[in-house]
Amino acid sequence: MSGDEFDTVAVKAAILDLALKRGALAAGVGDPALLEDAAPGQRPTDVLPGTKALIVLGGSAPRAGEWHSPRPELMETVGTADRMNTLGNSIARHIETTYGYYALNVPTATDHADKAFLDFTEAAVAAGVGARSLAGPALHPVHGFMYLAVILTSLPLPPDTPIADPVCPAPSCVEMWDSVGTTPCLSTCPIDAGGCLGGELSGGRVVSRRYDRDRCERRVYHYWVPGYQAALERALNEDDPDRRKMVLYGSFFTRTMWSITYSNVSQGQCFECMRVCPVGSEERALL
Amino acid sequence: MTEPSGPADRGEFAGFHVVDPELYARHRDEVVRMSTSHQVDINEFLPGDVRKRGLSDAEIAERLGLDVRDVTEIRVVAEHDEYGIEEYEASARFKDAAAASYVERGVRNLYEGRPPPTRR
Repeated sequence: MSGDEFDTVAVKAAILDLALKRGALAAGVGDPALLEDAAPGQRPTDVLPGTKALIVLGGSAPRAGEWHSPRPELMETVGTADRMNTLGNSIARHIETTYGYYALNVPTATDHADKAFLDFTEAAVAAGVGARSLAGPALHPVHGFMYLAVILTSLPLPPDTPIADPVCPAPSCVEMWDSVGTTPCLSTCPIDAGGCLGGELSGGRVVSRRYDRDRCERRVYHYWVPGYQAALERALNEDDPDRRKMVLYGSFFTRTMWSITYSNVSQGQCFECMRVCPVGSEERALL
Repeated sequence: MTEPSGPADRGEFAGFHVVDPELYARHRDEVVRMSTSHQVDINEFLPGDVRKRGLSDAEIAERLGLDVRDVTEIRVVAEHDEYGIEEYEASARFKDAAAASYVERGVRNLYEGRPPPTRR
């Protein structure tokens, strides 16, 4: 069946409606051409030749209670990204079996070079599911931070457009910048004081940004593969068997091994720039 | 250039590709600078002619005249090598302090990057 033989608008609506009924909070279709300025190897057509549309699903953010807990360790262990991944796989299968077009759910893991297969933030922007943020994640105007799934397909679907009005900076962040020269995310994780984020606002818009991705990875994967490698190196370099034992049996290494074991709930281990973000904060404020 | 004839020629030690430590030391800084490790105005809110995306490993290899596999290895090792084990302790202190600040003051958090000792 070719795209000329069915109503692509109706097919798109049916697919997005299915995703929303199965748990997505937001869904949209992006034009893959908008990601063609990505580095070679990370373009939609590098992953699926003949890609005509990218479907982006957002949802499964942490619960309000989890944001509200005073123990950041809780957020380190209740990741729900796998729910969006499962939904993405389901929608991809639905497209192939129902319409007969190629579809794949872009893996959230990394390739052989430890790189993402695709920039999920740019995909969300292209599909109008989120907008760029100073902190980094794509933000939905209502829901704020969400986990994402991206499905690439050769099914020709009419694309949505990126969100017209910037979601970030929020009005309260502009006020804060004008008053004290920082924003909640920048003040929480300042790149010039041991954090990951830097940037400037002017005229209510972000005009520059700096981001230390390596430090961010240390925090997001605090008790995970990078920490495991660092602690193992320390242990291997330790000549004293008693001191080596303290490293390998100690709390950091033990906690890291548990996180790797339960990797599906340990994918995100730092949310502090998002915890203070006003976008979506109303959904995190309950009684 | 002649084709590599064996594992050692391909830079493979103990059965898999490992970058030579001297090559790593010589190119680490420039590979990190050209990659996405430290991002300045990359894929952000700025006009297209201002935005600066990081380079792929193949693009870095072409600029530096290196084998792409060596660039990949240099970058991956450097990303893990950028911060030592001490950064994880700092991360625990940071998160404890930031979360405590949020509980006290909500999104009007003004935590200023001065974490107290970790509670963990």
